[in-house]
Amino acid sequence: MKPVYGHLDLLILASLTDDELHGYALIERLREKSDGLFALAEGTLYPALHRLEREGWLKSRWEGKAPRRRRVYRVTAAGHKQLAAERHAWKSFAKGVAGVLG
Amino acid sequence: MSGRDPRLRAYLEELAARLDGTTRDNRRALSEIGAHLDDIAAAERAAGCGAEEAAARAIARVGSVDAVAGRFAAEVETVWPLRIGLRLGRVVLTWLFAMGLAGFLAEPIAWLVGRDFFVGDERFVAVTPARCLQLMKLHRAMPTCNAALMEDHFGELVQFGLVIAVAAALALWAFHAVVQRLDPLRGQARLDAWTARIGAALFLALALSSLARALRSIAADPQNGGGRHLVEGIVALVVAVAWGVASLRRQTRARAALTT
Repeated sequence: MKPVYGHLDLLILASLTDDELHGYALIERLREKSDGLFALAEGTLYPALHRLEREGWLKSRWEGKAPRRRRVYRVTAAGHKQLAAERHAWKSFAKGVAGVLG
Repeated sequence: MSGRDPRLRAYLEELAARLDGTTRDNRRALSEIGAHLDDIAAAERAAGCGAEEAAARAIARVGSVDAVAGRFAAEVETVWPLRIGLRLGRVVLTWLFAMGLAGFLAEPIAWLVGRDFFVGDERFVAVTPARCLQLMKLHRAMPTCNAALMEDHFGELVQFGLVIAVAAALALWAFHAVVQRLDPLRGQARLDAWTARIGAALFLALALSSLARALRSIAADPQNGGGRHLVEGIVALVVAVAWGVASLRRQTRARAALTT
């Protein structure tokens, strides 16, 4: 589902609010919570995670040892603020669309 | 990496060649995507899939190399001038080696066909008296100025060829060591498909141009120096074929990884 890319930041930040997850677990959570609606080429998640980390909204660390080593991500304080702002913007947008659609 | 399915390894190698980030960023990306592929493949095998099918499904879910590399290029800071520089560096050094080798090969070939085949065009060059004197001093066994000039030119062709070939071989060795350090998969620094493709096309163009010049020159007069171009053309053709085969093999491996 292509439009997911426009909201990927919001979806990633929201999925990581409570837990520290690695990419595969994050995809599984997205799939589970969206009932399989959000399908994306899973490898394209990582550039977004790296960018969000550069923005200061995520922090990451290696967990485990090779070959089971995984990079896990968590939301920072700045990320929580960003998530609140994006959530607010999304709700306003959804309300507007709902109003138009009736 | 050692226990990873060969199709997944081929996918990661293809992706490694396409990432334009810093070496550190690329290593991290490949490590994460490799772990992701392993996790999907393990889940698929646990669900009853065979190893081949599990690897194919993992690759299908992660996405094509084009899609993933394109997303990294769009979202992450890239250092593509460095990557392009490295690829061109390899092509240029190989070109220097090939041309140096072509010059050096004139020596053994000249035993069979004579030195005129390489430097025969010097027969028609006008030489000033001062230069003539100098050449005759350098090559006392030569009966005429132009014979001394040909001898002189042939020596330069072989000696410069040897020096250039050895220097380029050493530079390629040093280059290989640097690329190996930068290789995000920490493996053997290998010729990536893009470099092989670009290199094969350039060397083919060089080979065709040299062979055409050689044929024109030899058709006009076999002892007219056309041999230089002929040997350059043959050496360039050998490199073009070798790189073309390397490119096709890597493409085939990458396609097999995506379609099995």
